[in-house]
Amino acid sequence: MTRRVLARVGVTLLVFSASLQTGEAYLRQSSLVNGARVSVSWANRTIRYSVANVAVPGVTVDALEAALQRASQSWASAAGSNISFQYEGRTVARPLPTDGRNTIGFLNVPELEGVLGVTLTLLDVVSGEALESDIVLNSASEWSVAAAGEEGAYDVESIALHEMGHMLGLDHSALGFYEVRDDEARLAAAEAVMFPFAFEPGSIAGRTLKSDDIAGVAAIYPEPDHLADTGTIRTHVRLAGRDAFGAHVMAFNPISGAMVAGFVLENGEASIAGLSPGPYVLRVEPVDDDDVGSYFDEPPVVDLAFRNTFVDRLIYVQRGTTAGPVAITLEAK
Amino acid sequence: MTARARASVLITAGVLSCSVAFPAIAAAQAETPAVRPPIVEIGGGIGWVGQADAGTRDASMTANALGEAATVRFFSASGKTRSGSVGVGTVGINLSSRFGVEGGFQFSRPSLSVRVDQDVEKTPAVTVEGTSFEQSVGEGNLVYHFNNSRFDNRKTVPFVLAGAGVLRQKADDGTTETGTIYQAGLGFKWLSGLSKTGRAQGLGMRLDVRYIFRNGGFDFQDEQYRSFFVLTATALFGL
Repeated sequence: MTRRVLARVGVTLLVFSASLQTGEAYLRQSSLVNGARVSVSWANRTIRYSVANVAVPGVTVDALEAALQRASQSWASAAGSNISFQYEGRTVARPLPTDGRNTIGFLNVPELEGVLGVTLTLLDVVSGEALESDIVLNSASEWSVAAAGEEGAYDVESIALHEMGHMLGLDHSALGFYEVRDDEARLAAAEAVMFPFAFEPGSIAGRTLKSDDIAGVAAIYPEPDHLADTGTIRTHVRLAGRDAFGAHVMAFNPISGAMVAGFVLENGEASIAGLSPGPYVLRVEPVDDDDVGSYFDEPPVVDLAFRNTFVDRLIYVQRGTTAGPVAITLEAK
Repeated sequence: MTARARASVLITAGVLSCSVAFPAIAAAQAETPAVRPPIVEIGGGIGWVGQADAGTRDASMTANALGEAATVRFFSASGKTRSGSVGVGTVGINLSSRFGVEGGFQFSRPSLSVRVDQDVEKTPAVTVEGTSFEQSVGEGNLVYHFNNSRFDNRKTVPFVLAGAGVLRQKADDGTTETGTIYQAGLGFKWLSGLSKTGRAQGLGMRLDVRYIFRNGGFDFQDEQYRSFFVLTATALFGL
């Protein structure tokens, strides 16, 4: 396997003792508390962060700061969302909890082979409030901040953009697919910064947020009018006479080309919010069985044995409303 | 007389009859003014709007490749607006015996249909049906009547038209799209009456077929012209 993991999932530490899953509610990090999902978010919509005063070959601290500011600005500019970052300067602290400060920086973690970045979030699992979040960029890999990318080195801004998504409370998106070349699976394409695997070293394609990322962050930190300006598709997915779990549901608008997705959760429902009004094609697929751990920690039972399917009617999304629930029956393999 | 001689006589008689009849018609035409279209025409009717292509949009993903940003097709969606009925209305003013101008509207409720195929993971292709939407067209046309080619006792006149208009489509989800249309067509107008001054008038009927180019509206590709036919039958009233 040549895929490089951006982060297995934002590793989450607990403040209170409770069972926690970084499963999916929309594309959000969440925990199960007494059977109910609690999503992760910041109470204060201005997230302060510091940069660890550590340089690596090819990336000075100045360049790291600039790349992080560009990445944070990308999230702050996401349409429909109301969130911002505030840079508080350099620190000699390492990007680890629990010092009460959000720190981003390089740390050499050779034991995390193949992992480019990890986001560690300290949260109140009862309320879902994020209390501290630190981003480790694994200096065991080669890094670059070159404007056009640098062959053989991972782009700091692209990887930071992904990890900042975790910091904001987003989990992984499954909008991507693989191809097999020379008996090795490699990432063929992705349409979400929050896809769990990185583009090739040298690529800067991960610097741009996609529709799925933007819908996700706007769902967590909506602007006042966002919910009134957009709509939601709710699906109820069944397999072999029972609710399915873990199926990936994609909504595609053939007029705008926007693609946004979500996962089916415990109640058999997937809810895809933040959609611009218009017609949508729905496509349902199982997650790649190699990647279940990228989306579900301690999965109950993720349904994988069914055939991909398109829903046979267009779903129309209206402003401020929810379409559905759209009943989808999957065909078992 | 022999049979041959009798035939010769009959042919001669026929020729003589014709020579008498033609002057009679010529005299009648000289007495009646040439028939002209009415000054004002008002019409309303129904018709059929044909299926139209709505383009193709790929569900594309960013390719894992260096250099220029490239995309990979995940699957493809090709749209059509289905054929259906259309209601039409026109008001025309004839500026001369040949030329006229008219304004009109068309209203229909076609539906959008999407063929989804070429899935990279071989998801079976399907045709996804959508609900119908409102399609309104406001148009202005220049009309040319072939007034010298009237037939059916001069009550029917062939015509051609060319014009342009604006298109507005509104889906049940509240989204609207606008665009422009350009059209050309041909047909016949029949009016039952004739005024003393030679103007066609009264109740009648109009049949026409139009070929319409649309730019805008619900489409999976930007800045593309789509074409479709519209056939209409209109009850006409000439003043």
